[in-house]
Amino acid sequence: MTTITSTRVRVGPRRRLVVKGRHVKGMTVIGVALVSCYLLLAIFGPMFTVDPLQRTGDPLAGPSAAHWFGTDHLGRDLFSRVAAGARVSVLVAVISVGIGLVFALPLGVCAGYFAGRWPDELIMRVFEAIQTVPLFVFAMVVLGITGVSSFHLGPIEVSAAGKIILLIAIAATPYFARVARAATLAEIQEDYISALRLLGVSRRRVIMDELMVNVLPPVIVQSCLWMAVAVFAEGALGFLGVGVQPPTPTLGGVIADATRYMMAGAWWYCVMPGLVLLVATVGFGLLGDGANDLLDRGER
Amino acid sequence: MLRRAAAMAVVLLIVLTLVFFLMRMAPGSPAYLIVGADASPAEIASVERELGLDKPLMVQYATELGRILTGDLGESIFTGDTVSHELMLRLPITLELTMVSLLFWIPLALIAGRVAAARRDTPLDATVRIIGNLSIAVPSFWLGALLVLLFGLYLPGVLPSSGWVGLAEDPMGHLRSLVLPAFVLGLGTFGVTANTLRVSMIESVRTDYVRFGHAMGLPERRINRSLAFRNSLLPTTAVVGQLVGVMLSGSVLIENLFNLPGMGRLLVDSIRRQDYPLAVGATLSLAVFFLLANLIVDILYAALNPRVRQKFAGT
Repeated sequence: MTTITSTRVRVGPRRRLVVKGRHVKGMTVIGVALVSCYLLLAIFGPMFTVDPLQRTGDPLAGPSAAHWFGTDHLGRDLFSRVAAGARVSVLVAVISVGIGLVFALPLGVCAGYFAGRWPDELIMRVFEAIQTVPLFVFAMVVLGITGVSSFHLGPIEVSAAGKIILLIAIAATPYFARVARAATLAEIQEDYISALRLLGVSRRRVIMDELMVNVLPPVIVQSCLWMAVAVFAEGALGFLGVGVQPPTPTLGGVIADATRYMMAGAWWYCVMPGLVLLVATVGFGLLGDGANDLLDRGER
Repeated sequence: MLRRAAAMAVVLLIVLTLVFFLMRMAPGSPAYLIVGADASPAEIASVERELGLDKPLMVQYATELGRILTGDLGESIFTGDTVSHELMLRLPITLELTMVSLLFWIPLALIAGRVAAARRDTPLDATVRIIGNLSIAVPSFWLGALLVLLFGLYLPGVLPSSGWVGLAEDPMGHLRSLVLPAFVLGLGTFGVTANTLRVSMIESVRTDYVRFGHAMGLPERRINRSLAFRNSLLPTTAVVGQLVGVMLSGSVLIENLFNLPGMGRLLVDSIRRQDYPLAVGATLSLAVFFLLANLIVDILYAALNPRVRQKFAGT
């Protein structure tokens, strides 16, 4: 089988997509397409739609040329509400996964570097404790109790969205750190690390410049999967009414509203926002699997 | 084992402490909920004194901790009933829902995963993988809402789409009211379990014991059943343990959607009403539930795996 070694993405012979000399499966292509749809909706959707907060049609009208996804119980355009909700969910997911990575990467690499010694023990025990708490339940309690408006943590004001982002980031950090630690354990066996050490390169530079960069690929796979989790969690919290608050539309919030008008036959009201959620979770899942496959084959 | 029990205790203490302080940091006093928003300051003060809310924070914390350690979870501010009684009413419903859901989905997942591994890279395998991945990705509360729509509006009378029927009143109705919530709650477990078993069985082809089985001339079916399948049950069990925690979180969503009076519903209601003792009790029991599930899975794991069993016996 011919593989083309190239850094560009192009279609190889036998019409297979090839990235850096490795075949990409059809499922991964679908994943990329779904994630792109979701991101495009979130980024550009709100720019080209009507105001999601204003009445622009009859209440509970089905999908039509004027309102692609129909309207809600107040006659607001559902497509624009879903697009605005998608934007909230992308922001929450990207920022929370980003914060998780910023904390997990150095901690995980350090744990791996000092494997078996006290920094490793300390870091991993704390993360184990976090993993033992059912975080969705805990998030509910925190959001339910501190209220869904902003609250003050000392001098810092944390908004509801900020709280959700922090909670998801806390939940994700142990998983990222574990992956980073495992990758570090494999990486420090490599000859180049011994060579650097022999050359007298400082420990800090080995960790910061070499290990942190080289453990990235498996951590990125994990963060793809966590994007799906974050999108789901934001939707679920919104559904329970403890997410980002109205008037800002959220995907979960729209679904929660929709459950009250289902018996009136407004199927689109419930179906459309959920489809967007589904596109995002399936897309990020496939993307993560695809990235994982690329890694696997790269290592063998 | 001792070390695990100690770790569990520490985790519970941390959860309890966090929940307590978060509750006291929250705006608004539960006294308002009892006497109404237009009560006079004197009335509020007297209710707060009754509830012990006027004492210093650390004193409240110490009293609360002491009470909980002796098994007294206090009384619900809203209903006046003891918290333990409220929990006892709700706990069986969540337990039953989780159990029924697991009993339905896990055998299905084991069959699907095993068949997919045995027929690797066939259309059947692909179907199992696609269904499995979809079952993981689909947001449970949305699918649940669609089922409520389907059975409530388009297929009325086939299955109840909301509410709870007691076992004593109507056993058949009781089972019927469980069908939809149990189906939705465990859907994700199917995909994760089937995938784990499939991958693990496929990977076991490379292990020494499977190679040895081939070398001994054992028939393929026997190798699949006795060697690959049984050994692959180990990672699968570990995954199911983690899934129980996921299902507990899921039960919060599902019970609210289908109107089931379980723990998840209790948690959401008590938070909405600022019923502090009840919310603390609900959170703690969900945490205990979760830790116990993990412990049971660890013991199961040991029972299935002779290598770990010996280590357990040693400690």
